[in-house]
This record gives sequence, C-alpha cells and structure tokens, in this order.
Amino acid sequence: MFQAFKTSLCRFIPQCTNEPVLQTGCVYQTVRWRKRRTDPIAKSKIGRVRVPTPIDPAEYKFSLEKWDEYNILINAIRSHCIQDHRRKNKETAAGVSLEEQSRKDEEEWQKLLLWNTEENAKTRQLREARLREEAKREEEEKLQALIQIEKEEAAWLAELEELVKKEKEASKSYITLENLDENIEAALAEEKSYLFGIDKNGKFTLPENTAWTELKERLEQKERQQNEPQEKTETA
Amino acid sequence: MPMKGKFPLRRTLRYLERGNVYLRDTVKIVTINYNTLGETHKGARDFVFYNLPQLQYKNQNVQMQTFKNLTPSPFIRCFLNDGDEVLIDIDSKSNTSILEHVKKLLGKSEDILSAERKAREKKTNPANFGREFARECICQVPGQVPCPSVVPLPKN
Repeated sequence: MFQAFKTSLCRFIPQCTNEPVLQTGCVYQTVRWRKRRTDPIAKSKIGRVRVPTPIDPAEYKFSLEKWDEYNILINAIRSHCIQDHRRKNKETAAGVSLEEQSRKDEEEWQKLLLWNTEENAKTRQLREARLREEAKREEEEKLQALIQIEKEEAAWLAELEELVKKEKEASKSYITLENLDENIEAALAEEKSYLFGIDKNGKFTLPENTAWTELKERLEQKERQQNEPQEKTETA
Repeated sequence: MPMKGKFPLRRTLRYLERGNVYLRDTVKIVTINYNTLGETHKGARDFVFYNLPQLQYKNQNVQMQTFKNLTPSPFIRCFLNDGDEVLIDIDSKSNTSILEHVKKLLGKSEDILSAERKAREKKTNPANFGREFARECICQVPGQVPCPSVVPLPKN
C-alpha cells in the first residue's frame, strides 16, 4: 500500500514528473509524495498544533555566530589533509620526494641556461669573425678603388700633358702676329696648285713637284699604317 | 576547398600534428626578431615559415610574436613565468638547428611528457570513477543499477 507501482507506456510519461522513472518506463511512487499539500488533513490530525522544537537561546546564538567560522576551519583542514594525502601518493608513485624533485629540476634548468649562454657565445664569436672578414674585405676594396682612381687620374693627366706637348710642338708652326708678314710673303711666293684629283676610295692624286709636302707625308704615313695591319693579318 | 597562400601544406592538420616540441609550462611568450633580407637571417626566416606553425599548434597557450627588420642579427627571446628572460642567438643557423636548440632548452623532456600522457590516460580510462573523472559513480552508466538516492534498492 505504501509502495504503489503504476505502469504506463513510455511515451505517456510526462517530462516534468516528480516521480522517478525507471529505465523500463515504470513510474515508481514513494511514501513521501503520497499526500500533497492541497490534500485534506487526516481525521486523526485535525486540531493538532505542532510543538516547536526546543532551542536553547544561548546555544542558538553561539551556533549562528560560530557556524561559519567552524565551517571555514574544518574545510581548510579537510582540503589540507586531502592535498597532503594526494601529494604523498604522488611522491610514493614517483619514487622521489617533491622537494628533491623540484631541486633537481632547478639544477637541470640552470645547467641548460649555462649551456645556452655557451652556445650564444660560440655564435657570437662566429659572427664577430665574419664581420671582421667583411670589414677587411671592404677596406681592401676601398683601397683598390682609391688606387684605381689615382691611376685613372694619372693617365688622364699624362694624356693632357701629351696633348699640351703636341700643341706646343705644333704651335711652333703657328702663324702669329710677329711672323704674319713673313708667312704672307712665303704663301704668296709658293705656288700651291689645288687641282688634284680624288678617287672613290678617298685617295688623292697629287701633282708632281707640288708644295703639298706636309700633306704628302701624312698620306704616305697613313698608307703605311694601313698596310702594316693587313700584312699582320695575312701572316697570321 | 582550394589551398591558399604560399605553402598551404603548413595549414593542414597533418603537418601541424607533426610538431614535437612541447614548451615548458613556465614559458609564456616567445618573440623572434629577424630580417626579411640577408643570408644570416635565412635560418630564422625558415624557422618562422616552416616550424613556427607547428610550435604554436602544440603550444596554443603561449604567445608567439615575430618582429621584422629591427635588429642587425636574429634572435629568439622567451619570457618566463617569474619575469625571467631567455635569449637565443640564431645568427647564421639553419632552421633545424634552431628547433633543436629550442627543444633542448625550453622543451619538455621525454619522461615528463610520458608522465603527462599516463595521467591523461588515467583520466580517460572509463574504469575510473570519481570527482575528477568522467563519471562520478557507476549509477551514471546506462544499464547499471540506478542511484539509490533516487531509487531505493530492493529489500532483497
């Protein structure tokens, strides 16, 4: 009677039922939920007045005040004990106490840091050597460049000097104001015939016994220069 | 669907899972300084390109930052828990040697990793019940006797 089973099909079980539902779909009702609040009072209980539970006021006050404190303390002790227990289990499992393990770890870490600094020092040395080499090479290149510039300058100056020399030599035959009259006289006295031929190849045919002596010399020199490389190529 | 980017294989799970450097728990930030040009920075560039994704994948709670074209020589600087700093000079090193260096200095050793793996297995082991495990009581397993706090056990 106090334990009433009510079977129902699974799909008719309401989702928000207060009664626990077994895996098979049975709704199982217990004594606690037999009488609802809205149900009428039993005949034997009409007129019953509840006697309030006896409370010692001093004890009650003390409890209220000290309950939180007590809870805090107890929970702290409990968690401490649990942690201790766990730690001991871990230590026994690992075979080494926690302090020693942490000390070992610290030692290893310091060793690794030392190794790292050594590696860094090696890399630094390599880098510095490389930079020194590069600086040397740069210096040499700069020096070479300077030397080259000097050489070029010297060559240029030499060229200029030659030009100046040539001009100086040529200037000996320049016509200046001093020897203007003489040159005019000489030119008038000379008979330079401009009637000479020139063929397709640019070769002059100068007349015999002319005053074009300089031109003749130059042309002969040019011919000689042209003939020389041809001979060289033939022999090669 | 299509593979995006320069070397899209780096974005595949298969590639990322191949990373084998697990950094220590004390390492919080890893910064890498390198230049985009220069023969001495090539190793650092390769490290950032090929190995950093793998490293980040395996250490997702570590901040990894790169700085480009700030210093003449490349280096890695790591910031640890208590404000400590670790500097690794990676001038003219290949990316494999850099990775090895990082693994040796900042990586978890094999025994630590195996211990962690064991602990994880313990957690995933379905035979264990308790507060830190998947199920607190066997009554939570479907097909077993329901919790006596909800359904009283039969009298027999």
